[in-house]
Amino acid sequence: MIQNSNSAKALSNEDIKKIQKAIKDELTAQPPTIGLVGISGVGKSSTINTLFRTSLPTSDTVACTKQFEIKDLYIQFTKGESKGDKVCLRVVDAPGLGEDIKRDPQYLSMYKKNLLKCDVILWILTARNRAVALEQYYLRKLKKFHDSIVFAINQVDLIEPLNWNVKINLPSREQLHDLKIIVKDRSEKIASTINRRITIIPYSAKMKYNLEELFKFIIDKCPTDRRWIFNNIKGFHYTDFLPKELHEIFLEKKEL
Amino acid sequence: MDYCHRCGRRLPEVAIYCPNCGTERLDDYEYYQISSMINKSKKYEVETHRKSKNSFLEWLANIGLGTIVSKLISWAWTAIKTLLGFF
Repeated sequence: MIQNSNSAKALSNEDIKKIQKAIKDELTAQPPTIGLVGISGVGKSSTINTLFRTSLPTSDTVACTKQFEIKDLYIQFTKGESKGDKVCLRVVDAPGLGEDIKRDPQYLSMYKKNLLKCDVILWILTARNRAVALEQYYLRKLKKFHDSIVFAINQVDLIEPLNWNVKINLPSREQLHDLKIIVKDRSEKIASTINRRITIIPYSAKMKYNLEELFKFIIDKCPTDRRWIFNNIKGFHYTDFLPKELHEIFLEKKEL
Repeated sequence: MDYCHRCGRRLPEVAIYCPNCGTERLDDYEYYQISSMINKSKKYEVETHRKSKNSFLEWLANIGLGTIVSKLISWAWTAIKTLLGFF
């Protein structure tokens, strides 16, 4: 990108100012927008908090997102030409599907209206729940958004036998084994609903597991001329989440 | 692993912690898991950076800053030619 000093030399100050102004205008007119969909309690808000270092409210006990909300979160560009500048990340945070049957039809129409504005939609499932009928039902209703959806399974740390390897902050062998089965099963079920093959990304927002892969898929689903915005607001790196001791051990090695 | 990852001391067969530096022992599988995650992360980082770069150029072109894009392309072409000159 333009932040490369050599390429910057090829541009005049006027050009750079022009680009900076254009970036500002673009972000004001159409801020990066991400839609979150999933049944109640799958960790939609915590996922956003982990990916972009934001602070949407979360709760372990009751549904936090009661209304269909569009939240503007001001975060910093972590890289690129405008590094350090504040940018608005718009999060279309939907109340969990299936939370209240009386409200579902109302929510559905709001989904249809608001998801249109999203660059990318993150559809989150949970590894704890085998039933996907609710997701299948809503996916049928939200047909026109299928191409912009990234499917992901959160809470992989809660897969039985609940023996997450805290020493290396990764799933245990048993969990990894079951995770493959879970991902295959959910992929087949969702694929049969939307009539195309899909990839589901397993991750854990709580343990910060596999977020790089999730982010890569988010970037892939963005409109091609908007990917740079998301990449420049990415707020993490895998090595940030390595346990401190391992951090020292593994980061001392330049090449693995 | 027979040796401590941090200080390199040979570990007794039953030791969970290194007697020298106190680091918890990693088995081969755990070591492999972390290395794979780091490598995967690097790969994705490079990939998303490349896509982001292309995306930025596409965006510039779309908003009509064609001159700037052509300057960038010409700069990239010069850099490639210079690099090729070395080989």
